[in-house]
Amino acid sequence: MNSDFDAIVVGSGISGGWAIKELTERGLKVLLIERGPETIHGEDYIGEGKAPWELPYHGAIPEDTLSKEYAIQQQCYALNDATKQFFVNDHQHPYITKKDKPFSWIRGYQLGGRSLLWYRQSYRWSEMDFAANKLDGYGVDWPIRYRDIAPWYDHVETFAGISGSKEGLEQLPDGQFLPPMEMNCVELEVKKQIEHQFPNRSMIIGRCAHLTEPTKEHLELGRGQCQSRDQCERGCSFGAYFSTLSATLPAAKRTNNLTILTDSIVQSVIYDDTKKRATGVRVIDAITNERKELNARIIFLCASTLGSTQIMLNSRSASFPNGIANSSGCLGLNLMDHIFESGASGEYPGFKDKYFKGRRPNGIYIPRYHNISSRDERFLRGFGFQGGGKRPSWKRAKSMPGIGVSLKEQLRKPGSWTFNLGGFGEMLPDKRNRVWLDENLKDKWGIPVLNIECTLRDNEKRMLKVMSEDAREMLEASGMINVQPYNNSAPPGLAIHEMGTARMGHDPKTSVLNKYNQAHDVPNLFVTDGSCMASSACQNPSLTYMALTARASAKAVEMLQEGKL
Amino acid sequence: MGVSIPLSQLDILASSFAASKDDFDPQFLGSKNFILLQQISDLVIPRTDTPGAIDAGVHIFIDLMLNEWASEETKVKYLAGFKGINNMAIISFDTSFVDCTTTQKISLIESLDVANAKLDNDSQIFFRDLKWFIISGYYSSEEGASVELNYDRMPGKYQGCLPFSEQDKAWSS
Repeated sequence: MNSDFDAIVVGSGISGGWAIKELTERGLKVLLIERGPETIHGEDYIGEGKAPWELPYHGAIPEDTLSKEYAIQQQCYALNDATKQFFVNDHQHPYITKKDKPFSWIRGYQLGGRSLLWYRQSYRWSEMDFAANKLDGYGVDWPIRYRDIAPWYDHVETFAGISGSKEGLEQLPDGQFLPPMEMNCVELEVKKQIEHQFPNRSMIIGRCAHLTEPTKEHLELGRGQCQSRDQCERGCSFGAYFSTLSATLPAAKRTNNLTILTDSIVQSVIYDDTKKRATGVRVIDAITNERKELNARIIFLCASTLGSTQIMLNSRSASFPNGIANSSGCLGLNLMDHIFESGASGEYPGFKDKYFKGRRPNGIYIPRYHNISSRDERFLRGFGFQGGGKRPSWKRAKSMPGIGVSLKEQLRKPGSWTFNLGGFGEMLPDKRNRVWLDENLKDKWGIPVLNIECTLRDNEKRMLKVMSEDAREMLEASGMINVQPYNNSAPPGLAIHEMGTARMGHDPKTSVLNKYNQAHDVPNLFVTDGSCMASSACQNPSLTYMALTARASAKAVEMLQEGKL
Repeated sequence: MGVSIPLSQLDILASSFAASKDDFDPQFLGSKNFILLQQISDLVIPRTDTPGAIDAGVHIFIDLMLNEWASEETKVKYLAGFKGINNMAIISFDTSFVDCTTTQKISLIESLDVANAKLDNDSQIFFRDLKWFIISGYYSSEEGASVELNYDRMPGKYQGCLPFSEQDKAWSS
């Protein structure tokens, strides 16, 4: 393999996919390095379209396999026999947490990364979110504001295909949307009641990366319309949801500027103390263990929040004894996730003569309403709700006594309408939530494993309590009966929105990256995945990673052309 | 809610037991336990004008699951559970479960089928798990999911608010 690459992109998930697209389309020769195996769009979606009875064990993973190989990954709703090839084997990919401080690190090591597995909710951040750190003093000020990223949201939404409704909400800006998905009758009723009884709240259909009406650009990439199968995590050969494999990878490939290296683990970034530049990466062949160095003019780390930080911490040199670009000492600090698993569910007594068709891979969204126009004394920042209404299937029998003909007759009908509201809340940046390399334990390739320590603090705990109370209140106000509030303590990480640990900021003394996701200390090193986040907001973060990556890619090419890198 | 099986169904129960027990050699369960499983499966989801658990091969599925899918712990639990139910039959009716009359079987199962909050012995807990195994095995089988209920492989556009009448069936997923 020749080593004359303009850019190396590490990681092929949502962020890496955007980096290769934007860099190759601007004429750069790009090497994409993925630690997992190649995945072929369509061909490798082995469970796609299969009915439960067509799957081994009707889709259940054998119990011993589950406990030995997926001890952590099994906490993720999307793991089953048809998707397990897209999740890491926990046994082979260890990390360390303290016993009383669990952190669920859900990972997918393959070409496409977790872009194959994500839940596809896509929300913009607003001005309020980028200003939050400065306003209340938690974390460092974001070096960008909404106006800096807005055109890039436009750019990524148009290409990815985001379905949604325009709402004119200050805290959740509208974007370039494909037609919204439909709400069902109960959702429409709940929306009406909530918006009537709580004037500063609204309920909208979820904004999601699904093609409800593909454009010419989507069709040209071989993508097609969503068929409401709701088996997205098995892979979708229609390319109806956005993933690296359905969208950014084919876009990058058609430039003929892309080279892909799979089964190749980046151990560290090489730094030249004289040139004061990153010159390449050290790579280990995941299968043969062969080691080599690959060089390029610029490096983009898109290996996921903790993946990129682990690589940087492991990139030690005379100039950076504690990890590349870590003169601030901030690398590894301020890990965040979203807090969730708090909300309420209830039953709706009406609409017995109404039903739905299709498995909508999307729900409803209640955008944040606390701490917007007035200050809530109970907690800082805010949360939104995801959820929706449905008529439960036979699965409700799990808690039903009864057998025989009467049970069978009951289960032939759908259950009464039920409705769930589950909060997703902002976690404050806190330097005590952090990762670091272990001094002793190494993985099978000799790379020091991560220690992860992340716990919820008072603000998060207070917010979780209010989430559940608010959800109960809204469901009761909407005419629900048997409303059950819940506040389960999910381990951090399980929202799979882990972010932070290489944050952006104005000041090289307190942050790792500048406003273009460029390392303060190493001008030709860019980090554009979730690790760059200076705060977490409460919106699902992937769309923001896409926009930041596209923006950073454009800037990197510009600087490269100007001879600044 | 108790067990309610119309008398007209009892013949079907009896005939379906006879029909399939010779066809299949269980891989995990001994023949006695396999027949026990088959009979309980039929009590939980009987054949009506639509296929029942046995028509769907749920007992065969569970035997396969126990053989290939279950951990050692689960295997032990199921063997102990079947033994427990059999012991109850011997204590109450002086005969093994499979040799009980249908009425005796129903009364025994009725005593095990209690709401979660009222579970108070190992056999009841075991029956809850076994019942769920039978139900989930049935409604994820081709007969249960696509004959008893409706299965939509390729729904197309989601429609959120369609008329539903008492004759209509639920989606299986």
